[in-house]
Amino acid sequence: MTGNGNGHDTARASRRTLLEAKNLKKDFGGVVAVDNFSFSVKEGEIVAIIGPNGAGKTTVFNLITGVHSLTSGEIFLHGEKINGLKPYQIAEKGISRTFQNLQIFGNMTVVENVMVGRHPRSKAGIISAALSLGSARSEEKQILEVSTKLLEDVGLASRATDLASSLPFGSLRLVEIARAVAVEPKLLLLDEPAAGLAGQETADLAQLIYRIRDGGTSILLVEHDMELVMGVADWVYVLDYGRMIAEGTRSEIQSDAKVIAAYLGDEAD
Amino acid sequence: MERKGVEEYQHFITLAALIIVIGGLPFFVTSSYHLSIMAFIGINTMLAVGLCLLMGYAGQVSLGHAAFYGIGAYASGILTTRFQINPWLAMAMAAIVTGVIAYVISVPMFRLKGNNLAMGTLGFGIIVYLVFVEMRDWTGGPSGLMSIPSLSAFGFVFDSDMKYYYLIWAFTLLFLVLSLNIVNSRVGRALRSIHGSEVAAETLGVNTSKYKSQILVVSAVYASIAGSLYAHYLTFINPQPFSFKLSIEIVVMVVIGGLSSVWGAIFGAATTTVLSEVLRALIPKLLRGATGEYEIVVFGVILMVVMIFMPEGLFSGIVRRAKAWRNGRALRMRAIESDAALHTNGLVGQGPVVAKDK
Repeated sequence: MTGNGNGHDTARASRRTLLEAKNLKKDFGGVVAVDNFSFSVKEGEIVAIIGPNGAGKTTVFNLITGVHSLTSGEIFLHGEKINGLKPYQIAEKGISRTFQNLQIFGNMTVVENVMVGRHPRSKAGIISAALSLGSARSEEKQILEVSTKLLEDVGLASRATDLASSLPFGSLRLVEIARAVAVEPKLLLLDEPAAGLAGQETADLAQLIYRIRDGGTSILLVEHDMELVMGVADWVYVLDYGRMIAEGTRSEIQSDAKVIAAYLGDEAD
Repeated sequence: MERKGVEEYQHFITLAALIIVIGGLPFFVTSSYHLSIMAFIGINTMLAVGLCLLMGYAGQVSLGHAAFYGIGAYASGILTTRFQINPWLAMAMAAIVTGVIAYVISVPMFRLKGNNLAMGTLGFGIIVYLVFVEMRDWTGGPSGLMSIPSLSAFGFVFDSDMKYYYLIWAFTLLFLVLSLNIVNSRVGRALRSIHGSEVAAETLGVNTSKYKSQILVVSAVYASIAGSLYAHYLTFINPQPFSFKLSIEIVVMVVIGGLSSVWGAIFGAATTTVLSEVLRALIPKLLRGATGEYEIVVFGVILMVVMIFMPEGLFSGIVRRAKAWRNGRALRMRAIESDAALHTNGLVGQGPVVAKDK
């Protein structure tokens, strides 16, 4: 493996580990999508997982968030084992995500989409909701305030009451990010956030990612867009056919022969 | 926030108008046949609102909803005739029993999705119906239970169509208000998020199986209380009204009302109930020897036509189109103005000005 024993690595080692994945393996009935992949995300870090199509990047996200169960391996958040938990429990622990194939609630307004993200940070149950108790009402007000603020952050406040399905693709990516940030996660997983975005939008996205990181959320990014990765990532893992072929800083990855062969070379066509 | 206020205000106005109409109708409609139809519209609204929460909001199909209605009716009937339990207490016990049954079946049932869930609930409805028919010792079999006592409170006996009409609608309005509150809350959002994308809902911390179970229990309890009221109103029950046919009719009510419209449920229930009465009188005249079977054909056709042309429901469809027509006039005016502005600024012909989708 590349990138061992240099200055960046020791700087990295001094940070507290947020997410630690050990020997992840996912076998879809004989097709091994992820094979013996270990990685970590430190507090305050922006980490990227890159690799060609079909390298298993999205599967890694599905494993972390509990959407798929692991064939073998373990995942820890702040030292606490989270594999085997249900997706909603993992969200409660402080991991939220966006989706490569948008999973917008098209039947709801833009702000309501974001409000769903406040779910783990609020508690009105069906009875207090049905009786519209004071506690439920004041909580509802807070949820709306926080969600409106988040929409302002991504520049979509003016579309708050529009039906989500009426927004263009690029805006919906931002809605998903705002919705995932509403969870107040310790770790935010972004699945190809730059896919389908134009140049300026990608630059804005990088700024947004920095703002989220500065707010105290670590970020794990799966990305195809090298421009974005090479702009924001503190640490990069490279997957190919479910196996890690390299890890390191941006510059280390850019000069790694194996990576160029497996990934960057393919991009040149 | 203002939008929320406006919405609440609109609900309040609608509710007030509804109370006036429902309260005033018996002053104009005095035939007990018409009053009983109006009472049944109330009962059917309770069934439709419950299924609307489950199907329209949470997106979970049920083709066995009549079963919960039947369980409520039979539990009330059995508890009051065989154990001489106070009817109100029996109604509460029936609701608890139905709620527990709903919870227990929800666990395996909601492992199923889409068509499989529809088949599972259909099976549940058929099993419950057969229990009503076959457990003669308890249910009286096909001939049913008789002499179920009327409801009474503090010496006031509910013994006329008009009294039941008011009692039933009091419950109906209560359920409508509770449902509106649920829909416009954190829980309502969670339910709609399940409908929108179950995987996204889960990864945002929504315990989807918990909410599916809870909303099934709520809708089952609504149906159970509707069933208890039915049993005490008619003082006689047999299995026939709780069959598969009613489950389909409830689905038709919800679809006509607009899958996710609480107010639409009244419209759907009213249309379906009245239509059902009309068809019952009309079909034997049009087709010699025709039976109730033909009613279901008509409902099937309505279901298909509404789903194809107005998938958001007849009621919601009409409301939306009316609003769109009203807004559309304003929009068209604005479009004409801005079009003129674009031409004068020489922007037309340089490609899309705003659209930057990809």
